Amino acid sequence: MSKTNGSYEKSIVVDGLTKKFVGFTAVDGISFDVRRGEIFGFLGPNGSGKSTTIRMLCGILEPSGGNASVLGIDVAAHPEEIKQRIGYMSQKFSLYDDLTVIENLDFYGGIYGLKNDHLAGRKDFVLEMAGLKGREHELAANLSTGWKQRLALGCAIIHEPEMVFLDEPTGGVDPVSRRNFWEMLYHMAETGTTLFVTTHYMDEAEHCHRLGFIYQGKMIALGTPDQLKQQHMRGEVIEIAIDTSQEALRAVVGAPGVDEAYFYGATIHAKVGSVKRDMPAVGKHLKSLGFKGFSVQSVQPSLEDVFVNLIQDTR
Amino acid sequence: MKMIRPIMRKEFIHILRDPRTLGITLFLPLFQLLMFGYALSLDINHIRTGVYDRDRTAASRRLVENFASSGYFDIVARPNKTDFTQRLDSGNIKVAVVIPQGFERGLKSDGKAKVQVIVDGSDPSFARVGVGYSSMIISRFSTKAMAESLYRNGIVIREGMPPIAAQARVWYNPELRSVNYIVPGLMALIMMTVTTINISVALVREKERGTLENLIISPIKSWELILGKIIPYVIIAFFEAALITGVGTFWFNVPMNGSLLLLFAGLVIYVAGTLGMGLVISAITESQQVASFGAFMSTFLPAFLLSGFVFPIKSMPVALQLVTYLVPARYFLVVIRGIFLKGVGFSVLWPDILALVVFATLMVAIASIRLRRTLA
Repeated sequence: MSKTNGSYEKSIVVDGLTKKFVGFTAVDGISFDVRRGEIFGFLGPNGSGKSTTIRMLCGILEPSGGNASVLGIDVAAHPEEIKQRIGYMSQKFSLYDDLTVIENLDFYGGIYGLKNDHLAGRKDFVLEMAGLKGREHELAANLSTGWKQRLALGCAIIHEPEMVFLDEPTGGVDPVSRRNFWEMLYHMAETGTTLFVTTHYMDEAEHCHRLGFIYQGKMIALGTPDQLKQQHMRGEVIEIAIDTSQEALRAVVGAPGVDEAYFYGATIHAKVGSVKRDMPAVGKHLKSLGFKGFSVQSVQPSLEDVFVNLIQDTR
Repeated sequence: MKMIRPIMRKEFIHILRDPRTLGITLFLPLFQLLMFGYALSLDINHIRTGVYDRDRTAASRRLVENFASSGYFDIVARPNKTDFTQRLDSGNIKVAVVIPQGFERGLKSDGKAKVQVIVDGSDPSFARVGVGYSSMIISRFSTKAMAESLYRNGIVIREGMPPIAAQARVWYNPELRSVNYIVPGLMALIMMTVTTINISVALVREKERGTLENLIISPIKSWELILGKIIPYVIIAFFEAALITGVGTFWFNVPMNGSLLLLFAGLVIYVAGTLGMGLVISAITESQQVASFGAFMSTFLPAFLLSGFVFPIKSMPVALQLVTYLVPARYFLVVIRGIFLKGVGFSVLWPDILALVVFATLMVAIASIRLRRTLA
């Protein structure tokens, strides 16, 4: 291995990275970097260029332009070197159902060239970390989704990668398992592993140290969750607890001072220029239309509010 | 290179834990071998025959005796006039021999004895053989009767009657046992279907499960992945070939006259082609079901119908004959029958071996181009 662990400062440095396919540009000149030991959240709607970016960073898709280095290695020049030092976990978990827990670990250890004592030590570590001790000989098929997820993470890190890419790793997993999973990720980050995570869950995005938001191939926001809320949220947010019907949404959109409104959980969020000025007017407007039993309050904008706002601005 | 082992080990576990693969790989060939070995016998003998002897004389009995002792006809019934049509209708008998009254008298006096043979033509190949054998028996009987009659009239005929005796010899398969023909052909059929189906499913399964993505991102090279996946199936394929050869020679007594080494070399080339074909199918399909169906349709049917396995290529319409040139089993059949039955070597078989090399090269080339697209 030509690069040692200490020879890079940032785990990922991306500068003007571009990928063109016939007829369209999937990734359009994005730039960002990821520090060592950071949990970087990479967000964006489906088809926005997330997967294409990950594939380029993993060294399996050649960029059309720009530069990217992972762990100090240029992805275009030395893709094979990167492969040995990164881990990858996909939404599908990529386990072999007809193999047992230990056989899955053996296999992934094997294809990364781990042997004998080293492999045994790593398997022990992973089983401990994932809480799979005692279930070594169960078929992966018989594990519940949460356990499969942990095993998949274990398989992805069996070769002690310095950097792990996680492509929507919590899809279809129950909230308790998700929470446990994130605790494992925090622990890994604390011990120096860099994590690059894509997710659809905005509460998970809040857990990330820093976030990048990609939309239509362009990076439209970058920063810590707090920074994003401050920089990309023009206006303030009020929350209306009301029956979430299309009728109610139309009423809110039509209220004076409301820039836009959207369902937010069991409520409706409305972006207004100023809470002080516009909140009473919204209440009055709804009453005048005959809505009853609702409440209006001012809330701190969440990341979801930020992203709705961002996408609306881009359009 | 060291990455091949974990892949191979995993693949063996898949095979051992998947009843479908195990069935296709081990039991289907054995089943086919026994099925075809016994059921697809093209030899026709012990034809169920009814005799309606209206003459009831020594001569008529002697003729019937000639039929019975030939081995081709089993006299299972002695129906009367109305009965024998009914028996033919119902398929109870396939051949009816009717000897009219006055058969012996005619034979002795004016030489105008007649025998009627009625053959069930609903199965043409059966009927053709029935007609052939019965004409042969009757003409032999008649030659002998003629000689006796001349003898009674004072003319002695020594050896040499009839004046021309055809000395037909059948080479390579003197007893004309169709099993000798079928078993080597089955090898071509089985090797092709099993390897193609297995390898195409093995790769598509990784696509379907999403595990292929991880393999692509791992440091393993695509040729290591492919070799690691192929080798277990190649090992199994050769195990099967040995099984077929063993069962064929020891159980069905098929002669093995040629070189085992040449057989092995031929198999290597043939299997390289069929595996390449399996890889091509896996590259262009997305689900295991489509892959196995595609593999089955593109191997079994052509190898069964258009290879000369059962149906001779020479008797096909010209257009279809041209199609057979695209069927690799066609060439392998010539090679394998040549080795098993004729005991011939490379000097005779090289054109077909060359054709197999071309097929294998082509398939492996297409597969590697298609897979590079899938695996990168």
